[in-house]
Amino acid sequence: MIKNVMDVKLNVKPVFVMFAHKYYYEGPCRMAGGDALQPGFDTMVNGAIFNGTMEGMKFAMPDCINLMEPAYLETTCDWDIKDEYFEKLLADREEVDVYLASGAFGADQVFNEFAVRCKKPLAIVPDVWGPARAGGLYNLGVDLICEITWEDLIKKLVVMRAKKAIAQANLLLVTRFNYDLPVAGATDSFINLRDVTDRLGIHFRTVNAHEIIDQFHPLPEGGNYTTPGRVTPNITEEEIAELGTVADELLAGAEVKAIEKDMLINSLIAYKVIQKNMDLYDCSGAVIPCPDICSTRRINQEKFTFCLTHSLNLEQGIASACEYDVAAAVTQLAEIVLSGKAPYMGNTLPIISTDGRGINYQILKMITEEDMKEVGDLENLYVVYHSTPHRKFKGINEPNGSYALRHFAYDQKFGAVMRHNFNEDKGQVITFARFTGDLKRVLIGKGTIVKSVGYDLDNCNGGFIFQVEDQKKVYREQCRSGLHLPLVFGDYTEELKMLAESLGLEPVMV
Amino acid sequence: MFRKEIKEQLLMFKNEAKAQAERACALAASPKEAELKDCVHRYVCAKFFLSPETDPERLLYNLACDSIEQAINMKIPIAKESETATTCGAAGSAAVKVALLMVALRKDFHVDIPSEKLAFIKNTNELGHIVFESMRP
Repeated sequence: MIKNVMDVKLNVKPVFVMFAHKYYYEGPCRMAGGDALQPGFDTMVNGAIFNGTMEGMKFAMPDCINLMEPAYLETTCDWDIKDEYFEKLLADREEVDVYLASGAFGADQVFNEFAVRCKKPLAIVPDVWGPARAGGLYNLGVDLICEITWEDLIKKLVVMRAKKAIAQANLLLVTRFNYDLPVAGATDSFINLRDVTDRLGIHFRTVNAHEIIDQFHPLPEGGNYTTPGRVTPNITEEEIAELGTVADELLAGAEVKAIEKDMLINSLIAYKVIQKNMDLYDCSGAVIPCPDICSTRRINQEKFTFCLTHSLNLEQGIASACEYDVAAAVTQLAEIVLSGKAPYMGNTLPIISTDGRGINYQILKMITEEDMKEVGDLENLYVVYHSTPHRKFKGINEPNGSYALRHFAYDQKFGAVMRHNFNEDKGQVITFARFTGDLKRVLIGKGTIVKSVGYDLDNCNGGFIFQVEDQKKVYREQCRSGLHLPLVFGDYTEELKMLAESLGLEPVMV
Repeated sequence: MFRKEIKEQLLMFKNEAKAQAERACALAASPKEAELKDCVHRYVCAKFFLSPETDPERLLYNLACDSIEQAINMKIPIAKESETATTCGAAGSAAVKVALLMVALRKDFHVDIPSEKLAFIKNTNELGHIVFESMRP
């Protein structure tokens, strides 16, 4: 089954450890009079607190949080403490990711012992009494979250959910030569994937590129050439027929249709085979090398590219990186789960406009002279371009955005690629990021879309120009990080920073 | 609002709560659930300075929050009540207000419902039901 990180929920267990006076008496711990001193009154207050707090929690929690059945306990001024209290509070501990606890003055002994025994992160229900509840727990080594507002707490929980989703993810690696890094392409990616597994929890599932490409045709009698006699997840005739319908729908919705249907189907077959392999290995994303496979000449032979695979995967919240950029795929996982939006990755480069000579040829040909006039006066510009734009920049669950379909190969016109006219998004804030290859830092920054580029171009040229606050600062840090800076619409810099910190990585804010 | 008008409005709410409690007590010999629920709902609304049109499914805790808002809007001095009813667990005003309502209801409706049962009542519908259950011979 494909494991979509968007489906991962954080299990939050509300716990109430309350306190009630058993008798009528006054003294230095009774700040009440009249009826409030009578036995039973505290119990009713506690019940109202429980009802009100649960109502507030249900209202405040986003969909990605699974609010579990609450546990409720009332202690008394007998200072009673029994094992059964902890059995009750910790009953479903194995399923709990975070306890969200409310404790009353007087119940401290039980509350604190529960906090130590649970051995899970423990969040205090936000209110101004946090210091009274939390101060002692810090001393006891409890993994504590104590925020003053629900908004702050939920931001923390959302980041914890992201960490959980990433830790549960498997990535499909399509390899020709090496495991950690490609021969050509994203050689700035992770140098040690075992380290990624150990520190982030992500596991990798490797499939040989030749075996994958053999699966682009229905399974012949006797098996594929590379795996004779074996049953493999080849495309079927029925699936090819279904992809014909998908191709018709894609062509019908495209603003520009610069690819023939049979070439589009070839790329859709590649997408389907990758999806079948992700399904087979329970993956949340795929990483595929472009140059390493390109040089086999089998892409030329089969007349396809994997660009559309990446676009369609990303639209569903599935990480999908070209150039065997595992670091980009991991960054995409983080962006997907934190934003609910589909990321975009591409070559990300500064535009040097001070003397007009610094723009490299590939970028220059993407920007018309007229467009250059539009951005010519602006400083701190960057450009991002590749061939994996898609229709879900505004949200995976939002309606499709506009798009064009073009081809990658100039001569033979194969390799379906999507384009998006980013002029529709001028002024849109974007967040870009990248886990560094040494797994020590995460580069995090934001910019604003200024101008679409490459909408009318084939090959690997679709993207946009954006403005950052300090181009040189971004560039210097990027040189310690890498070329591809996967991005999403919106400002998620704070969430990414919190995630990096929670993973023990240094957030580098640019 | 003038002071005189506030006083008149408070008196009106007080009389309404008393009338609903008396109405409920008069039904005690042969209580009918729907009628008792109506008495309890109107009683709670009057106690909380709220309109009887208030949703009977609305959480009592939220009604207490509405009541505090209403009291502030009407410039009703609520400080004294909360001064004597705070608990050393630093419970909020709304939770204390709900507990005080339960204490008053037990007295005014002459019902003996354990605190443990009243504690988790969510709304006036549930409260009306539990009052009916306790009055039923």
